[in-house]
Amino acid sequence: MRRLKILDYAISSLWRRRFKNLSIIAVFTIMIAVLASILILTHSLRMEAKEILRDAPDVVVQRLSGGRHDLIPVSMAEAIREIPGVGEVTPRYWGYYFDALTGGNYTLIGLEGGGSPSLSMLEGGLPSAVASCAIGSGVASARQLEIGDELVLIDSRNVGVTFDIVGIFVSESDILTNDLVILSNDDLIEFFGLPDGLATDISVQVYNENEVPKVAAKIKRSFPETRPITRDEILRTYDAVFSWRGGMLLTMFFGALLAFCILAWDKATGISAEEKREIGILKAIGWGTGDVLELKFWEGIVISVTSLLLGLILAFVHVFIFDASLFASVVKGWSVLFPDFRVTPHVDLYQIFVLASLTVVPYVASTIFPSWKAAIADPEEVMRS
Amino acid sequence: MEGRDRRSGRGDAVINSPDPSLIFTEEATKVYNPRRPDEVCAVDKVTVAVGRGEVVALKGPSGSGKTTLLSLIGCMARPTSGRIVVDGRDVAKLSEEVLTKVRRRKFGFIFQQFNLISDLTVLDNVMLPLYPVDVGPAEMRRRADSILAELGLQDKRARRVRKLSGGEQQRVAVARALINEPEIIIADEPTAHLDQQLSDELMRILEDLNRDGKTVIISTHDALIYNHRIVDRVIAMRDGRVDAGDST
Repeated sequence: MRRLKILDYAISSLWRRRFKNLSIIAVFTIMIAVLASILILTHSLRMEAKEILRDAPDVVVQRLSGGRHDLIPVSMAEAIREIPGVGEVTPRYWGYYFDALTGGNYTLIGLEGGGSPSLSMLEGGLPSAVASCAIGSGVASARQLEIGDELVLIDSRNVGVTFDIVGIFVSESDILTNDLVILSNDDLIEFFGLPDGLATDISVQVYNENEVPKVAAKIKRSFPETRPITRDEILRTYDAVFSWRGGMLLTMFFGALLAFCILAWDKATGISAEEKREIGILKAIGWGTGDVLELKFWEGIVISVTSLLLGLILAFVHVFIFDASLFASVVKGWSVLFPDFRVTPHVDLYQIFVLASLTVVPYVASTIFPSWKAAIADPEEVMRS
Repeated sequence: MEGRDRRSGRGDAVINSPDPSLIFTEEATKVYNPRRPDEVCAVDKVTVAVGRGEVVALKGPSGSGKTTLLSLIGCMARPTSGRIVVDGRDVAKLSEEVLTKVRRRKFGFIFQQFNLISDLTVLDNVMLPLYPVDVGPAEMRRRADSILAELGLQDKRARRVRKLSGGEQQRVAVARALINEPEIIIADEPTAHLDQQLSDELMRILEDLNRDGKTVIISTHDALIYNHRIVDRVIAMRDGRVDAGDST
């Protein structure tokens, strides 16, 4: 009862100084929205990366030539298959395709390489005949195509090749299938003009997950010209890339953050003569130091939690509705070359908890501290000053 | 009470109350900014007593220590030395928490500048002392409405205090002082900003309160107040000390 009444008084007290408090909430909200946008976007991209790699091979073996990724002999797959603990070994055929018509980059994948996403994401079917394909929703929307339409791409001989669209991916995660064009292996080999007996890379399945690093090491020992890449390494790379980009953005906003902190500190600690007098009045008419501090605590909580909630809502709208238009290009990096995609909303409660700790707690503390100094003084002293 | 001189027969320079059990100060001293160049001894070894149900006026020129003595008696400040005894307890030694409870339960303050929160309504100002107390919102309103009706402010309850006249604000301050049903009313220069008519009205209110058994302590330099018929005793102050020669 008593607590609710003090909260009620705190709200009415904030409303009395609404212009000052609304301006603090506005600035605070924008700061939190920016920080939250960066954190949410990088987290969502990390989750996207994990999603992509969920069905990825345990090890991908690439061949290096002069340090450059080069085509790998299919015969190497047979030798890798002999390594104990190794399951399925599949040569993969794929390549990037720049579509001059739309300015987008597509990823062309051979169907039999095991690199295509789950069929549950597909509307229609996979290519079963020559000159047919399944495409991602980004390609479909960039080219304004539907199932039954034809996709024309320019092959390695600079000749237009027509593929019948038999399926369109409706991925739960756009980044997974957005830019995909799936062809039969034969079509893809012919399209890119790949020499006989060579593939883009080789995917390797390992029976025991814990044996993956050992298998990768054995492959490297047996074929020094190759570069075996494990799924964990790719995940770590994505993680590092998005963390670095997020960190870079945070650094960019550090100045603004610092300016806000100074403003918040000034606003919160600069207890006005009027507020000091009010504390004196409250104490004189029977409020205790604890009551005054509770009042100030609620005032701080109302402002900071309101700002936090508004900031989080703004961040969600910015990231998931407006595609993080303010800084997507910095965080996404290479992916801007792809047709536009939307990240799937992922919420990390730990990040929200950290954000709350870094915003609500300091603000409440900076509100209470100066009031505490006024509240512990005798009421007569506060009212005289 | 009206028409009688309550001071007759009490003798000269009586500063000790006939019933000292309610408030008693013993060599109470208050020094501001001690051991600094701007050190001021506002109250210097003052010993006074106020009995239950008395109306006592503290008189003296500006800077004589009246307000500081009221603050000490009303538990708004602690003495630098000496004792302040309220209802048998030495309040100078009480913890902050207990002192707050004493202030809340025993005293109602009427300030010279009213000390209302100008952006709040009359009703909210009056209810303010009840927020940290376990009294429900309905009871808070009932009590405030009742007091406002007694003071003729019922139709002004929803108005912001800053829009009221000086006399009305003073009555709001009185209402706020009474909401906790205190035993002792402390009024610091309560008529300083009021004209004669409003001063008379305030004194009538204080008279009614005293009739209901409240002890009233008023500080004033206005002769019309300390000579008012309701005042039982006058304690004169000068330079932070009791001027026994001028007290009655």
